[in-house]
Amino acid sequence: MPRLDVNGITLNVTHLPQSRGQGGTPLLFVHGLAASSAFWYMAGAPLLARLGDCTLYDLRGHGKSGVPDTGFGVTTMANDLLGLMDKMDIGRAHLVAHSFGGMIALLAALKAPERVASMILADVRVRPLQQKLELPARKIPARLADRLDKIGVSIQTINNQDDGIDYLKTVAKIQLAAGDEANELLKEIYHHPQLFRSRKNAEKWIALTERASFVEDLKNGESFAPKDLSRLTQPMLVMYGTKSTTGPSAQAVTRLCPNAILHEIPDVGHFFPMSQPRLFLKPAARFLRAVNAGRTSFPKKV
Amino acid sequence: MNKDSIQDQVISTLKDFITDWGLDADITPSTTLVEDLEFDSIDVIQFTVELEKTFGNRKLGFQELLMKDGRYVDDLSVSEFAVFLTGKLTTA
Repeated sequence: MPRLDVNGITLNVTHLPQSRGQGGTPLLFVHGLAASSAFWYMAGAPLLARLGDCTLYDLRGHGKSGVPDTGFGVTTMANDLLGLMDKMDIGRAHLVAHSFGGMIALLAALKAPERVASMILADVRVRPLQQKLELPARKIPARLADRLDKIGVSIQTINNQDDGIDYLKTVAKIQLAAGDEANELLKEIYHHPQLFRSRKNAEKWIALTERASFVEDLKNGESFAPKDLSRLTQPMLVMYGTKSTTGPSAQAVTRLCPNAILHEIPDVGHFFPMSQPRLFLKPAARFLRAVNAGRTSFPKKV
Repeated sequence: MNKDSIQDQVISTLKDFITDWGLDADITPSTTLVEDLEFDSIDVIQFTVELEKTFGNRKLGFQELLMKDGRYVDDLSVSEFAVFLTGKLTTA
């Protein structure tokens, strides 16, 4: 079932059937900005398929899903998620989300709490709780200024970034312009290598971010208020890497949501589910087994 | 099941997978997914899902083949899939 029409758009979907036993609560995976469903496959979704059917999909504007002219806000994307569940006859699911995908999962759970059995939020920045990101590129060595200047990226621009959308755009620009030096430059600035798998993906991200509606919808589109989160009573596992910038979101979500557990993962950054799948999979599987067994209360921190 | 028969099944699964892509490509053991067939990462994972169906709906741990040191590998050939599958299917 690679393509499904949902909410006026075509979504690209990968379905992994439950691989042990049957009848487990399904799992639905939501990736972050500039990523695709491949993120969750590489992070070990096939292993979690032991617990239930797994559905991975590309968000609108991403991967192989359709790219509409408008409608990139969290509200539309939460409606896509719930529409996909309708289309696939998934009554209730565990939602597993990374980064921006967490905003979509949280809003979907607020709209239809009865359809969300639990949530795993991996390194999620929750915009209403954390307006600006302290991106790791605050201390760029001055000696890089000339090199960045040559490829049309100014240190000033990087220093002023406080949002994932702009940060990912800079990463894409460096990948496209710096050639063989891209990995070295990115490691110096952001402490990670290239993120976009191909030139085409980097170009697609830049083109998306240059659409006025895309940035406006994502940054200022309607979502939810912090106090709304106290209505979410599902078990939630909130994970974050201590080298990432999303810690304040994770801590605030755990404080606001009555059944949320905080799980800090030392010495890893924003993309830890893919770069270190075991660190994600072990606590995720343990949590899901406990929820499936009917456990509803957890300690606040593990 | 030996490596040759596994490789034949990889090739036939790959042919079915790209059947409506309009490619005029001859699939051989040295054919690579990204360079020769213009796969992107989503095509690669959907192809591995098809391979799992071909080989009896088993989870075969393709992440081990597709990731190295926390990064996607750049490209894979038909024969690399066959070698990986031979290891998995003959030791399991």
